[in-house]
Amino acid sequence: MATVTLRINGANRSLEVDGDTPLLWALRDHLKLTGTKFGCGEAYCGACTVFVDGNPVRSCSLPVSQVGNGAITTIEGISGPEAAAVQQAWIARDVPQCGYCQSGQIMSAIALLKAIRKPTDRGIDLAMGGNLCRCATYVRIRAAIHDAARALGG
Amino acid sequence: MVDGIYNQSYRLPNFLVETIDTPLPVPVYFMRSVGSTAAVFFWESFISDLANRAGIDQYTYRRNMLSHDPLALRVLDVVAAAAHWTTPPAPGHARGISYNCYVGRGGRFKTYVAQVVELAPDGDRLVLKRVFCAVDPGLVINPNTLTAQIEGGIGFALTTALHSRITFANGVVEQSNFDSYPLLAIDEMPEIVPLILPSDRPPQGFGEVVLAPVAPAIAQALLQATGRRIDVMPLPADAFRR
Amino acid sequence: MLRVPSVADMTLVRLLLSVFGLSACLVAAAFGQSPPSDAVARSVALFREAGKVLQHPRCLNCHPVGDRPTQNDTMRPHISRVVRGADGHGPPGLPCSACHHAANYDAAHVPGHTDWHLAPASMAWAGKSLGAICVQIKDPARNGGRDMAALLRHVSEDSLVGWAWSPGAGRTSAPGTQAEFGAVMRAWAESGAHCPPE
Repeated sequence: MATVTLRINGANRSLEVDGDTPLLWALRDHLKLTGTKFGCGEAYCGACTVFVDGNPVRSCSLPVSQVGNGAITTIEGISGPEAAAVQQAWIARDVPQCGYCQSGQIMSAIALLKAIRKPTDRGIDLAMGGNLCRCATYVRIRAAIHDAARALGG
Repeated sequence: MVDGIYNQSYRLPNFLVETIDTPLPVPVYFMRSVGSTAAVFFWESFISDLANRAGIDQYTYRRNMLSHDPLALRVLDVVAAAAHWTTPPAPGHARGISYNCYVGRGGRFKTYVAQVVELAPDGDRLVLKRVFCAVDPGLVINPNTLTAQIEGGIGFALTTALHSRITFANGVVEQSNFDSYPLLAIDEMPEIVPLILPSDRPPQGFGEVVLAPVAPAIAQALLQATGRRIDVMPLPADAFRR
Repeated sequence: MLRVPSVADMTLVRLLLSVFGLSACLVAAAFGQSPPSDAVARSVALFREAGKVLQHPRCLNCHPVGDRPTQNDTMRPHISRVVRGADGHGPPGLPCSACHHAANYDAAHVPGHTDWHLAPASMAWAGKSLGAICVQIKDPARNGGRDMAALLRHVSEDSLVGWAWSPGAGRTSAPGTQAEFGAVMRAWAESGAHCPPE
């Protein structure tokens, strides 16, 4: 065990964890930021996606010892025009069903819209291919990302 | 086990369903659509075989066998019209049609479903491009939620039809995560065309009803496109080879 | 019988390297454009030895034909369903680095490296014969613009290539060591870089 300081959603948070702990468990169990979900633990499903320095990262496959000074953003801390557009589109399209994977879907959608202003269906499929949804809300995920892109002027 | 068969809707003057309890080493229990995913895959594939044996178009054959049931005919006619069934598919493309009336436990509800799937060539494979789905679920209170169940239900059924394989070795399930037990991914999700029919009947059940017709419709389309008759689920990956 | 150094036999490699460096010069001087069949056979045999590394799943998985990498010793299609992208680092929105971090993380069974990425499509090896890979690997148009010196540096020093020998738990390592692999490749280059039939 060691004291690790992580920069999360703009604040420094110190916790006592083993360095080999997945960031996901540091977020959920130690810091009670439970919006980020555990799905598979092996980076297959995308439910645990957060940003590190603005880049999408599977928090289950990143030990806290490798985070370093990276600024972590979780679903609780998202902000900015892409996040607002994605949130609005998700609500307007009623995307979630059971909702479990949706934090990860939203994080990946924001990452996509930061990378490309106006993604095609193919571009959406490629970027979102790492986020599984057992309810198969994929039709609305695609539609909502197009909506958000339009709202951003893409 | 025989949901969707013992209470099937085709006009069959002499029809008997018997079941034999078979002890399995693995406990079997419900999943979404209860027994109908497996049973209707068999049943609708059997109907497809009969139509082929009779040399009659799949839509026409089902229509003939359902002529006593106007609500069944309605979903079939609506889905066939939307999918332009009577116009042959483009070269290399293939379609399949299927039907099921989902009867809730003890006859508590009846929801009518008909689907047309469209396969399109993509390199050396066929891929599922579009699914038309006509439903008569009685009075619809919230069409948005219903549409979500059509989209998601078909996607859920596609995971079962294409991916979900459980195997055992030394008494233990070999699959342990999404690498060995994949879910449908977004790039495999076809376009969905929901066709919700108006109805004066009270609201019927809906959460599971669109699942069962998906796999037999795909199998029928594959038979038409490749000459290979698939009678196992998940449909093997090489069944989609052109 | 020709004795060919094994990527697992460093001492032999060193010995043969020196002998071969010398003999290659002598051969070239004595026979000009047409080396004796023994020398060609030896060069080909050296490349076959290197091929044990080049055609190992650790290498082929990220040198795929087509857009999608494979994974594991079984070389099954990669899950998640990722693609190469314009620069080999994944498509916009789903970079390789979303899952593959700076180092292997055995707790999640996810391998890592600071520059995890796919080889360009021009360097696709999976499913090709060793002879075809050999011709390809010498061709600057299909090896990232490398001359032989740069190619040898790449195979013996690049740390992502080197990951193949420290792949983390649950994955078999490429045979030998990166240094041995580099030495065999160098011996092959110095023997005339002859290729097996395609």
